[in-house]
Amino acid sequence: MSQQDKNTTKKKLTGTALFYSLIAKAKELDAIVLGRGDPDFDTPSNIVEAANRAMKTKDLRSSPVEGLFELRQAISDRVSKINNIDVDPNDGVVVTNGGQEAIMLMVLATTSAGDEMIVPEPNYSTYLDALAFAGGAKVGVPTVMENDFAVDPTLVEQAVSDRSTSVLLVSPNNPTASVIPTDTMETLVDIAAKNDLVVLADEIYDQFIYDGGVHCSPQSLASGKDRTLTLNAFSKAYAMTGWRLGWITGPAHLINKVKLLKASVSGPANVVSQYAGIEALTGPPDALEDMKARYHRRRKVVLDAFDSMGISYGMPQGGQFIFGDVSHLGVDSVELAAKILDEAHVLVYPGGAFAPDSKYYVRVTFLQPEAKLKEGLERMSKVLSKMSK
Amino acid sequence: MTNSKGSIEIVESYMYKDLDSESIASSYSALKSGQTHYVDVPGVPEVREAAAEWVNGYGVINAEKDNIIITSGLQESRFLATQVVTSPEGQIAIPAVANPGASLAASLRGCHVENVACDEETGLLSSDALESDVVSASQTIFLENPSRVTGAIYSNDFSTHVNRFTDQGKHIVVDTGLSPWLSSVDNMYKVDVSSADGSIIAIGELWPGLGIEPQGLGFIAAPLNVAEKIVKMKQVLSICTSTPAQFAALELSGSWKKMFNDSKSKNEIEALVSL
Repeated sequence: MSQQDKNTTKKKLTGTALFYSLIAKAKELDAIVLGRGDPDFDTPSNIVEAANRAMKTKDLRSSPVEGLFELRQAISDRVSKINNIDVDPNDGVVVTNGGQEAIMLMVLATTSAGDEMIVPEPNYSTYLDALAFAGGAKVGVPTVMENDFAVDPTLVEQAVSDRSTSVLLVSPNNPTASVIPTDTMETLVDIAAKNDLVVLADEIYDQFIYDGGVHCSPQSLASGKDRTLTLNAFSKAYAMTGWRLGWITGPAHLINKVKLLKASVSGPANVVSQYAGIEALTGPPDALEDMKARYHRRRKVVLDAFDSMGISYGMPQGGQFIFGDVSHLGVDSVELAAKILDEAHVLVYPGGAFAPDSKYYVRVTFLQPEAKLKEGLERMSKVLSKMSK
Repeated sequence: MTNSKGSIEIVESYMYKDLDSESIASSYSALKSGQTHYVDVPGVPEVREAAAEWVNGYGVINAEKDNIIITSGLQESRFLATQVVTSPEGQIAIPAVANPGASLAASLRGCHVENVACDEETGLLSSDALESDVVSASQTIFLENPSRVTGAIYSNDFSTHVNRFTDQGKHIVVDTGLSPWLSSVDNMYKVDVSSADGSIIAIGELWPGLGIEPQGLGFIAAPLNVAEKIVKMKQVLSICTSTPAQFAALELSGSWKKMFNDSKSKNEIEALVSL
């Protein structure tokens, strides 16, 4: 690719398209991937075995569009135990083709052309893609590193207008790894209730909370129960990204809309994946606990590396990544990510793809074995130190 | 036909049989060896290659790997294909006799669906209907070939209408998914996706009838310019299609034709497409 082509690409691509362009380049270069949210662990063997058993012995023809009842029951039990969410598996759960489809369905279910969604920023780019598709508009609410990217309820309330229909609460957040504390969550849900907003809760990283933090689900709160759609998926917690399996829970009046949309968009999720999902939720938790312990150690590796590279960060309280401030290098993060990829063959995600105000940040995931993670960070460090000189 | 497991039956207008043991073993082997991660958005390259070869035998011509997007089933194919060639304020013409999935997919963002009257016997759009004001006012035309209700087909000379539509800048989405059930596709109108800037898209199920359907596996065959847009939309919608389905299908693709024809010969499949 010529320099001119590279420059053109950098200028044109944003958000999700930019990520995929970087992923393609990383694949070409066989780079160490510290960008994409795909756990390095393969799916635990008990889950693979369950899929095999299902293919051999189950009648696979019978999934309704909202998913197998047995899986919806397992999801209902899971969210009751982990999230204190009380949902009826009959009319409170829809199984989706991964978290990505769940995002699209939640946004479509709550957004018509001209509606506004309040979005604490930075945030996962797919929400904006889905919102644009639905014809809605984002009203961004900034969060800042100096405050560990905490969501400020006062700013959320100020963002409410006559056209607001929903507020997005991602905890732990992607990419900042901030977790919304219980008291803040209560205030935010009260604001939603006062202004008749639907809460869109993304809890895909709820199993990954650090330093004794507590995860609070808005749907578990009295004022949030009847106005919250909650997304989760098997990809991150069970290393099942390829299986494409997730879920949405919520009150019947919202879940019915999601169900109708699911029928329009794709029909039932892969039935073999659904049986695998049942095993993930009801089988032994050993693999998940092991992954959690490893992520905890790897997080420390990235934090130490950031410290040594002079990269500032808000303390990551959850998730599988750290969002670091590289403004001292004086280079836009899209350009920086391209440079690190070209020179060090390491993929990190540019913050500018998550929000315009984050153009001097990078997101580094710790989804590689520790040795490979360290190697990637060392290579990145060499590029940065050359730039600092 | 019976409903017992392991036998063959017609479900939702297609024959069903459990997935063969080789395809199950192949899928299991792939999963066991770690093929449990995200794969390329348009599909596993080998599956796309096999799908291109397969669709070229059933209602599509000149498809190559890059024209193919592997989807999470027919409904996702309908959704992606219709959404990239319609707009919320636009209009799509859909035959009044058609599977309702097409209207559901196309109308989701407000695109107006205009149901066009069909020939009573065949369920196809007549020449008059194809030249009607309703079709003329639509930016996109959706067709089933064969019809999912009657099994009737648009014949080769339908290309005259297609050429007229494309000259008018219209997009055409053709559901060719039932074509494997025809005794012959010789006289059937076929979607040519070879043009780099074309506007005709084919969609359907992949390797149907032999147990892969419940895993959700569909295809879109599109000219490169449209395929690129569809891939971008699939990135946002679902990232990729599930790996258990794709690896099972890869194995199934090699033996599908023989197994399908064997199964078809033992059942009354011809009746399905000549109702």
